[in-house]
Amino acid sequence: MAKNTIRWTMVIDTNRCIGCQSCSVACKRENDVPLGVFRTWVKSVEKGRFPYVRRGHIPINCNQCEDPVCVSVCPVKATYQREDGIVLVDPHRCIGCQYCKAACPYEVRHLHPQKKIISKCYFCHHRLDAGQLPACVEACPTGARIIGNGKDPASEVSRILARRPVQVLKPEHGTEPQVFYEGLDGAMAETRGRRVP
Amino acid sequence: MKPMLLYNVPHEASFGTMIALYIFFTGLSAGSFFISTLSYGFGRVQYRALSRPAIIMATLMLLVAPMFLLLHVGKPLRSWHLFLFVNPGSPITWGSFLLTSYPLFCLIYMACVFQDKEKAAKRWGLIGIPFAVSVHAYTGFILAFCSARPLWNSSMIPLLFLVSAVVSGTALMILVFAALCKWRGDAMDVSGESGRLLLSLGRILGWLLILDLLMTGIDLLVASASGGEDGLGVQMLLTGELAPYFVGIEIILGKFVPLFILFHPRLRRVGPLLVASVLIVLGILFMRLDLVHVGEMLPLL
Repeated sequence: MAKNTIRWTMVIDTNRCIGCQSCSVACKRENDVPLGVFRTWVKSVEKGRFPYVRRGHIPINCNQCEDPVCVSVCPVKATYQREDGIVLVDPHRCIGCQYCKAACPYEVRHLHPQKKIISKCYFCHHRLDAGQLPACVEACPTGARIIGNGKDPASEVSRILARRPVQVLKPEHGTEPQVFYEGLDGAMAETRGRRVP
Repeated sequence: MKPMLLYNVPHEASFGTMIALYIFFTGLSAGSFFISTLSYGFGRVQYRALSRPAIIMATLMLLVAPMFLLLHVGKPLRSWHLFLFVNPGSPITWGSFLLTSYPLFCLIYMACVFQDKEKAAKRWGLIGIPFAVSVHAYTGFILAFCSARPLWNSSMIPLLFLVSAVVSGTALMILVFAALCKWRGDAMDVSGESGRLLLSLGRILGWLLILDLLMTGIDLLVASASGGEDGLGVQMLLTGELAPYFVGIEIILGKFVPLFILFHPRLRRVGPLLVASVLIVLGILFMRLDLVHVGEMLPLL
């Protein structure tokens, strides 16, 4: 199948996620992500009052936006979007100005502590191109993460997006995220911690 | 009951103190440039004595400012990428061309001023002004383009940056000119020529400061009404962890105290004016720091 007939899209079912962080660990192992930074992680939030409580988990990684703000602000075009929608950083071109990291509404980019360039989730494009699933999708023990071709109406992601209620994180920024969530709790997504200096 | 966060990955600030200092120094440069063109560009001959020291300060500050950028970026040796791989939509790209062309105009204008070529100085001074405006306003656009950051995403920011640039530049020139007078041994009392010049600059400074205060107030008022992240940012500045720096240093020490000094009839002397100028420069420095930090202290997810 030609590249422009593919749009890699992810659907995450937060009702299935148990917060085990297997995806975070698998991603670290697969992509050699250094200590202190993450390309994907699971945010955990508790709500309610005993005995009526619930613990919710929100797996977070790059949304591979259709209209990525990181690409439009990068002064050297180091960040670019492939035809299949995956947003990449050219490691030889990035100057480490961190503008994309400041502009990203999802804070899913980080400065590589040793290389001093920006690094992020690529949906494991090396695995996708080889016909394998991304490390996080493969590692998830409950099948909460599903990836597929959003341009193929018969693919599993397309069928879920067509039939079930889904939503994206922070749609108000007009970035058109391509990671969709089932069962996302708005109040949980908006719960913030404190910045660690 | 509000949900309670159990686990999340914290993120480091992207811009931080280095970018705040960079904005501060470009502001001083742009402000000094305006003061320098008052006489040659706009025919206000009473400020002729300021033209030379001001253009020297404008150029010096602009040499200092990009050093903070080099300290900030992860790969400073790749800076040439900015001129080879151009993204016209990015404010940083505008900046990389402005930061190289503006010093050239500064140098040409400086040459004209030092040779006392009246007409050429007027021409190059007036050509330089849009560059001085842009070189500072673009830093405002860098912040304003980050739509998710509290208080950055405001159309007031580039304008506010311009006003505060002129405020800090004028205050800096008062200090530099007073130091020059001291060094030359000129008398600086109110009756002397230098003293009168300083006090008339102080008058301009007072009105500019009122404009700056108004714009800051309007920006915060609208932000506090818009809720969400902007509201949380205002809260952090007024009552939160940034309050000592914002309310204490930026607003009270850097704006209200100097305003009192500048407009009190019994304090119309050079000594209090210098105190006010020091406080104003300090206040603008903290304005840069507060604004850059408030946008990055709140986690977005």
